[in-house]
Amino acid sequence: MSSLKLAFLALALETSGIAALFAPANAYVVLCAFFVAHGCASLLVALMMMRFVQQFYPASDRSAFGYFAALCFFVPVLGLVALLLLLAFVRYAPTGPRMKAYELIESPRYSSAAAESPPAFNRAGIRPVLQSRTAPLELRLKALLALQSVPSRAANNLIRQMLSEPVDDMRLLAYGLLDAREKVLDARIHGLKTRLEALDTPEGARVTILKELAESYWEFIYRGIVQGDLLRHCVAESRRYLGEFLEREARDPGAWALHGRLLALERKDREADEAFGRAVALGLSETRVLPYRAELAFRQRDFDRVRQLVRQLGTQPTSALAAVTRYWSEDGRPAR
Amino acid sequence: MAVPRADRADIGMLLEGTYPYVSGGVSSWVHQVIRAFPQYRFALVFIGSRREDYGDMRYELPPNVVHLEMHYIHGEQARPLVREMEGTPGSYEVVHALHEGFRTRAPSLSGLLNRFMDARGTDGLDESSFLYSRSAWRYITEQYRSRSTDPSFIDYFWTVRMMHMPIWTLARVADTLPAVRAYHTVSTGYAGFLGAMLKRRYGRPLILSEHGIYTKERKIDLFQSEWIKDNRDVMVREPAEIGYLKQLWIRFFESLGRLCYDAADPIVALYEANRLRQVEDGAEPARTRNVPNGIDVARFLPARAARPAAPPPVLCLVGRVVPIKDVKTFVRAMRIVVNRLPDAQGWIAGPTEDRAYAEECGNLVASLGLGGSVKFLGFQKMEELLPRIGVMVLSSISEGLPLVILESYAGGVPVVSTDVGSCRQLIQGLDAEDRALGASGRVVGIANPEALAAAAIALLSNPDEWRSAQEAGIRRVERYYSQELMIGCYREIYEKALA
Repeated sequence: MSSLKLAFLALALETSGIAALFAPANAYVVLCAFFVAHGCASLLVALMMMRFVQQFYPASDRSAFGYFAALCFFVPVLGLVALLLLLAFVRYAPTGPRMKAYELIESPRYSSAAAESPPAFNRAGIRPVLQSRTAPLELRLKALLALQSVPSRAANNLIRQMLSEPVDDMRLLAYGLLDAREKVLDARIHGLKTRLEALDTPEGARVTILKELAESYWEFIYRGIVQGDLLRHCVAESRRYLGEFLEREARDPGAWALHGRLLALERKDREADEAFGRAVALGLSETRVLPYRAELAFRQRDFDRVRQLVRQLGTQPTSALAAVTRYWSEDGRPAR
Repeated sequence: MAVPRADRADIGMLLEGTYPYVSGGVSSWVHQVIRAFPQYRFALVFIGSRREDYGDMRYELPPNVVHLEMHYIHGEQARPLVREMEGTPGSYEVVHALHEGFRTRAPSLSGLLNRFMDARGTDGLDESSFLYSRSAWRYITEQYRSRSTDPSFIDYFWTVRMMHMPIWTLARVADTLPAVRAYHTVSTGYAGFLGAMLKRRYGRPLILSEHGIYTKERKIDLFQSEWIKDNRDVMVREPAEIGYLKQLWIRFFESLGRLCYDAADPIVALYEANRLRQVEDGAEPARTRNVPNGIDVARFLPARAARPAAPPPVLCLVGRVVPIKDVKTFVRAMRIVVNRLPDAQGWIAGPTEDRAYAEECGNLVASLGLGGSVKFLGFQKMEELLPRIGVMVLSSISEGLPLVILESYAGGVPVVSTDVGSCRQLIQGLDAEDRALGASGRVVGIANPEALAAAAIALLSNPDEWRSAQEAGIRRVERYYSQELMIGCYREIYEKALA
């Protein structure tokens, strides 16, 4: 049915409802007749409003319909007339130039041709480019940026060297790269400490947090972020939290291995070796601690033990240790 | 505080993210310059990011500031109503020529900027055209197809729009600014670009005083920013290549810088290294010059007289608590200092503008167990602070010519600073005559808490070295960095510009 017909029907119903109120009949019947006619008129106007609104807001649902119906029903005559006038105004009032409906245009297609630029250098060339004072600044900045994708332990030392660069850009970028890495660890430690200090943290979670705190401080050392007094501070903090953890969980092999590495850093070689031994006894793979135990034996000048440990390692050579295992596996070397 | 309004002034100062709403070295300098020239009326234009990023004014405006207006480039702007439009064919030729000029580092961009300025008000290149016309759409899509190495058109399109919209905002500022006899911008960037437009439009001289190098600082921020996406597939991503959208932003700020250098005369740097950097970035050498900062030494004489006989074991960092000051390195250095000198105190005197960073610093203090030794004092008056400290420390990763070093010298406090900006020149001397005065402190590498702590401990534990550094500092500031010298240079610059 067209809007115009609907509007006339609604008006007719509303008028007849009002007229019924003045009819000389039983008051109950009169009231019922009014409400039926008025209710139908309200529903018709709400329907018209919905047709109109959905042109702009297709998602309009029953609640909008209910709203318009209620507006007409609870404001008799006025509500209905106001909404009809509004619709009439929108339909017949003169308007300015209307924007055409949106049209779909083709989205531009990506061409990878622009992206196909040859890399400026390969990974092996990063160090020489960085350390060259004659290479163009842009190339050196790119080399520094490339270190973002290199693991911290390998990259940090090189990035740190760039902090003493005379060129501001290089220095600032190097600082930013290091700072971003530190920030993550600082935030992790702060979060863990906050959770540890919170009263409602369950005991089981606290034990895990203690270990995570020890490992986070260890990360500072392992990644070469701290030196000197700060390194000692991190060792002390890591040991403190690890100690508390081991008091509760003495059978964690990974924690004993970390304990061994911290003791080794403090040059407590005998205790460190014992800690590694304990980690292995508790189930840690021997290979994981062999290089550290070999290093401890080397520091104690016990070369026979070094050779023996390295030979065990030799069965599972890793690229980083291949040269060391080869050296120590040859008979008669090193000279005593 | 009431905002003054006037329809004319002598000097229009263009200030981006600084005076009078942000405190710091540059703001102090602006305040000092305005007060030093009571004979000139200043109109200030403050350009900020968003209104909510700034609080109340940090300075009481001198009476010769007759006009102040604030504009926010990323704030809510009244944009033109959306309407369908074709745009004038060929209107983007001037934009294309300007972009080519930026790309090929054309020796002069003034002609191109003039053409752009002429076309800006016309139907071809007004804001509506940029936002809604088919010509703009065609230009943007064509640029995307031929140049973008980032596959996301959505990100490319919105980056281009966001990046360029401030141009029309600034153009409107240029249209309504009170009439002045000369413009003075204290940075390149948006303020510098506004200066370039004003100079083209009204033909008045533009003075540029750069404290840091804006383009460089933006570039470093952008390198590390995480809000700009890189949508390249992980299989084609080259780790050394920064994302295309980041490159766009970097080039945008470089271009703004070049337009400003192109229009400004003189182009003032605080020290020689920065002047050379300006030349490298496109400034014409003949228009560049150095004017070092200077301070009112007499203001600090009472502070010097109030010093105790022996230097207090207090290391102080004066500056805003923001990442560029690297407060964390100072805190880490304090861990080492306190290990050696348990009575030592570390003070950080400055407003905490970056709350997240201030919190990180506070957490670091706690995690290093320095709660009793390191204090955040907030803003302090230098005259009252200086007699209570033994060594002034600057751990910044970037500086220009820090006023705080000069003020420390004037107050009789030696300095330990990182080797940034002109700090080495300020501590060890610039030429032979200056160097003959001796070192007025020590210089260390950036982000090196060990070295910073060692230098401060050495100064504090060696009374002879401390005293000779103090004397060298006083002589240096009195001879080379007095307010009279700096103001004398600016008097000459202003007189020439206003002639």
